[in-house]
Amino acid sequence: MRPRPPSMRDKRRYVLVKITPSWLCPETKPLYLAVQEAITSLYGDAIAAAIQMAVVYGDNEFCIIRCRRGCEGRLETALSTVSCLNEQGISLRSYAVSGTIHALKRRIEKCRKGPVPDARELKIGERIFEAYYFPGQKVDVLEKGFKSRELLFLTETDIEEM
Amino acid sequence: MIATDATVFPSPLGNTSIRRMVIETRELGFDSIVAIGQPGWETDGFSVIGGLLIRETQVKAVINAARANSPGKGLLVVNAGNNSFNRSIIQIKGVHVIRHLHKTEKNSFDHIIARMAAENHVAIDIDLRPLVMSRGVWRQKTIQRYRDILGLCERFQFPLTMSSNARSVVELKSVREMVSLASLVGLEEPVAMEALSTIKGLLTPAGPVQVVG
Repeated sequence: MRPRPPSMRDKRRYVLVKITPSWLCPETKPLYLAVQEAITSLYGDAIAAAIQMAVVYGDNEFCIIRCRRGCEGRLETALSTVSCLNEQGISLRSYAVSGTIHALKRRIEKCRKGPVPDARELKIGERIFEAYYFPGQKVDVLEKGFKSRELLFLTETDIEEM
Repeated sequence: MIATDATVFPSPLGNTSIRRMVIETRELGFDSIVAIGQPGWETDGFSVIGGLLIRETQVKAVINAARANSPGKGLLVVNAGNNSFNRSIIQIKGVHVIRHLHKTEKNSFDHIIARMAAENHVAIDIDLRPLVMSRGVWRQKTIQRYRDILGLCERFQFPLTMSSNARSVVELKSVREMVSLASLVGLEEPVAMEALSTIKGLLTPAGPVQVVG
């Protein structure tokens, strides 16, 4: 099938989304399903179909979501209602909107504050945690284990004071 | 810009330390937060306003808490109850905000209480957490209740506040997100921005001119 000429294609917008916590590194398919569910539950099937959402690019910390031009406001509102992914609390915050994926990829390079750090072992009392140290004194602390792992969001000062 | 998240729950009530909440909310565009169960403090132009949340359903408990909370110490936030409870607490001096009206019966906040809220300068909190967390009928009912409250707000001009009610970093919302979520309940951008800046006015209400010295 021949592709449609550019003048006959739907105009699209691309939304750059920051994923928090950044060490979660979700795959694009569960991300797509979570966003689609959020849009459908908020606006219903008719508007969800009109938005034509698709996750077109997934990085560890960022992803790019496509929608029809004019629907980006609704998509951004729906993104802020995504609260969990695979039973893990998550937040999807829209960072920028553009007409091309290329522009947003350049934006990712500007926004990125370095690679996602490796987990370091941290002992608090009797419990052992995995600690992810981020720039700006931020430390995400995740308990090691299989069941009901506690997650704490701290700063380096908090850890020093423990 | 003055924007305040009207209720956040740092540790031990949530899983995020107050320092981390400050770093994150500052990045999200706020210049102050109301931290429940924390004392008030300031750092580099960012204010943490101490908040006291009353969950009791007895008016006496609210009166005692309002007495204990000396003026300017912190924000007194009370969970709403039935009509008579709301009517009583709105008249107590020292109560700043009434929240969780969406969890109460429909007649719990009527035009009389709305007028009293405007006269006593007590704010009504628009909690955005149920819009994010709940789905289906519960979210529809919350939106319906908020629209009803906003209708009364347009008529009587009582102050509004907006809160993320976040217990964790992932539940915090940026100023832009809050404005767009508020648009779901019919709150337009200028009104939403005004609601985000109400808190400081509640703590230092405008009074008659006084001669000092």
